[in-house]
Amino acid sequence: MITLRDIGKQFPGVRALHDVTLAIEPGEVLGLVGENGAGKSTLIKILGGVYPTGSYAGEVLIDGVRQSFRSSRDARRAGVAVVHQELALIPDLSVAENLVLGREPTRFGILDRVRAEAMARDLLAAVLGADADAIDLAAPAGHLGVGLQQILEIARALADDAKVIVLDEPTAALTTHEIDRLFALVRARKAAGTAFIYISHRLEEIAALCDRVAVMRDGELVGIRLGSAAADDLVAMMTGKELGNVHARKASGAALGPAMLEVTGLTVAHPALPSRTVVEDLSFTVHAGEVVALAGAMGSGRTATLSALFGIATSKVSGAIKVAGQPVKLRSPAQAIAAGIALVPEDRKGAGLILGASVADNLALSSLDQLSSWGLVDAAQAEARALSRSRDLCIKVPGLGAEVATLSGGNQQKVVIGKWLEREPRVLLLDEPTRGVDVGAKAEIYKLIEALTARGHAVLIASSDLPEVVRLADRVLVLREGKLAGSLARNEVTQLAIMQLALGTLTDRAAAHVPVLSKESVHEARA
Amino acid sequence: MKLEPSLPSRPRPSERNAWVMAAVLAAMWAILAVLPATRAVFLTEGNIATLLTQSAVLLVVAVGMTMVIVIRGIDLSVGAGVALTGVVAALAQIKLGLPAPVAIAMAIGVGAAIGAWHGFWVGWLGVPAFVVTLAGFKAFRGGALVLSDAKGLSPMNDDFGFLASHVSSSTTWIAVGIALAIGIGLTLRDAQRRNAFKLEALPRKLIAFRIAGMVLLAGLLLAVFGRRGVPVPVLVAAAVALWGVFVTKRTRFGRHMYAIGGNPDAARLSGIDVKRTTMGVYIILGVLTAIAGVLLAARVNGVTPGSQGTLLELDAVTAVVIGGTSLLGGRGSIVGTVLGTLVFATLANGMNHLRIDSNWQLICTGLILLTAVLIDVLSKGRRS
Repeated sequence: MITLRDIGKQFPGVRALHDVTLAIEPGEVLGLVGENGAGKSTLIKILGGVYPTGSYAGEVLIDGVRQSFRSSRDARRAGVAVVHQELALIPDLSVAENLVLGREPTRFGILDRVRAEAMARDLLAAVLGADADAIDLAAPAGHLGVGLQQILEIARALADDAKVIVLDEPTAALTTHEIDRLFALVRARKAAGTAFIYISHRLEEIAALCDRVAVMRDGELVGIRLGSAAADDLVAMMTGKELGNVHARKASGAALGPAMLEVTGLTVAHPALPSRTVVEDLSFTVHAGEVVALAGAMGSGRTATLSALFGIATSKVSGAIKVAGQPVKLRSPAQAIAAGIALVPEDRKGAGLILGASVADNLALSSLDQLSSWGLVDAAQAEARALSRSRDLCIKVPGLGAEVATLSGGNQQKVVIGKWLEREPRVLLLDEPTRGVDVGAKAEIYKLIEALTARGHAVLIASSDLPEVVRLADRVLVLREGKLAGSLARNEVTQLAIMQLALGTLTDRAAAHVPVLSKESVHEARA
Repeated sequence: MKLEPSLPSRPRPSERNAWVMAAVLAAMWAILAVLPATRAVFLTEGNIATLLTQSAVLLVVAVGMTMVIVIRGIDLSVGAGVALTGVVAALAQIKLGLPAPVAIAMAIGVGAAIGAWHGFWVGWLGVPAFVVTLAGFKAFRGGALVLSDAKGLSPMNDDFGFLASHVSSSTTWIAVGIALAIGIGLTLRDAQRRNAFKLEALPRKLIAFRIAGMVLLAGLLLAVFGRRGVPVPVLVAAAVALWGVFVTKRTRFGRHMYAIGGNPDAARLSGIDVKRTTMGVYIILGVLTAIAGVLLAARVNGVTPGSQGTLLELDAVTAVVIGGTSLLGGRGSIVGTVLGTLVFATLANGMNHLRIDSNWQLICTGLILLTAVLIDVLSKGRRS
């Protein structure tokens, strides 16, 4: 039994946690929900030893014994395994090396490489079943797609003989198929007596998996409910106010404007195998004031399409692209930006932000040419614009000088979007716009996207979050293995319809076991 | 619908670089072996022995430098450390009359202390390695001058001279034979244990290729040193290099080095003791610096505290980078560094035979360095 007693944590100027007391029984799955900044991550970092003993108030007890972790190493030894939301793999080490990292088998002090590889293989087989064969144990982990990397991390935590396993947003990058497998694993381990703390913004997952749910708000535990509690209740507890249903369909929009983005015959070659394609002969149009969503299983070519449109595809791209009726060449982000295209990338921290720089500097980043004359940046103007932008977007920060790295995921995402709004892009591309973002911030980002379309921007979204697609899209293009499997107009869009097209189940029952782990997906997400 | 078959696992960029460097080295040797100006002198037993002896000190240091760079560090104090440890050994011999093994042990002790000092500042206090070792670059040189009263110390006692001598022919054959046996033994044992664990078997061709490579290397060494015996510095450097390969490839410590260099946060969250590993790596480089210090003191039979080892650290970084190790950390190999060192040494040796003056040699070395890094950058570009 794991007990957190009277936990408090103070950051300079902020009370991150206040008197949180929580107990988890063996064999229990405890959901932990709350908006970003509610204190979930801080609590987990205390349990996981990231914040060492002495830096917080209260105590952590395991089976009644008081623990004083000084590092995550200590916590692991005591039986606490944490799968952090940020990917924690070493990109240049192989899949096998990553899986055994920190517990490499040795013989007489010498690394037993063969046994290590066998361990890794068995682990992967336990997590992935037959699909494990498709993963090359010797490939560098950095070559895998985000979803697979996440699965590797979960496999690592499951390998520990842990008393409690903390999963922080584990499904953000997973496909439905992968999520099912994860849930089956969690249930199996739960039956064997392992306790889980499951953090997720997807309340339907909480309902499906958790015995109890702890709700946090502003650093305090506001209540514990049964896992079957109604989502509306939980949301109300998290936000402290009654929210309208986040996933409610928006009211019918205004008439469509002119075509902003016209794509004809877009084909993107496979980065590793030039004879194959990750996107094939894709044609579509996005109009001003319209939100078009790209849906499909992982590896279906969503991210590759956006990459090609922003000029960052690493392999050969062919096809014709027009922006506002003008044919454009998109060979680099600079050309794409000049044409009026902006991209909010999937990997917010790696590709969207300069983490060590301030909020103001990040907001100014893509409009420095407008903010400077003769090469000198007008700092006052930059700050003024950052200030008004951060107010417009409700970015919650201690100050504009705060490092972006210290912000919550939702606020970071608003900074990335805000950075592009400075340029008034004609076409805004959003890749997984609300990945790892809490319910409240999600609603704000949705409103923001709607406000943008109302002002005549064209928006193209790639998302694996089906409720999000249903909520936002005027039109859904469903991709399967790089090809357009079908297009759904607003009145046809349902999660079921998208899934059926994405998996091809309408015509072929056997295709239910979709190749989510095919080697395309391994390489696609690198782009 | 079936899953796609595995892609053939491609060599990692650092391995690919090692192959490129091996090809570059082979090409250089081939050219020097046929050019009219060098044909008669380059590919002789004596010249190859000289080339290897001259690169021994650099290689010893470069092996340690590779490890430091892999964990995203750097050590600018190596040249000064070579002077300081050399002065310690020389003082022990000349002023105190201590026998060579004691003098060497004292130098190594000082080297280990230097490494621990760096490891403490970098690992525990979090000061950037560049700054910590830049301070050492100044301070250790000063220490060497203070201890020696800024005077040259020479000659060393007679018993120190063995470090600059040859071992006997029979010892050479035995050493090469043992190394070869261990290499082949490990290769075969790995293959056999893979079967025991029902892992995908390595292709027979690959195993045969590896063994053939080892035999070829051993044959080359014996062709050069088999009759006259291998010089002690070359033997030491070879032992250090083989040990380095072993540590990086076959120990947990080595695995953790690459993890720290690849992603320090993830390494820490995986339960790796980043501080201790950092400390260990700097101590290794400190000890290797001391070994280089005594080898150099033996070769020149004394120590000139003001100039001994000057710029050795930058030569070592050059050799490491030519060998394909990324200055961004997380990627690189000792084999690459050995090849880089040999390319570096061959360049100097070949240009001497071609009577290109040393000023032009500097320019050529600079260009080679840029080319090597370009290969690294291009291969990375292809990867992502």
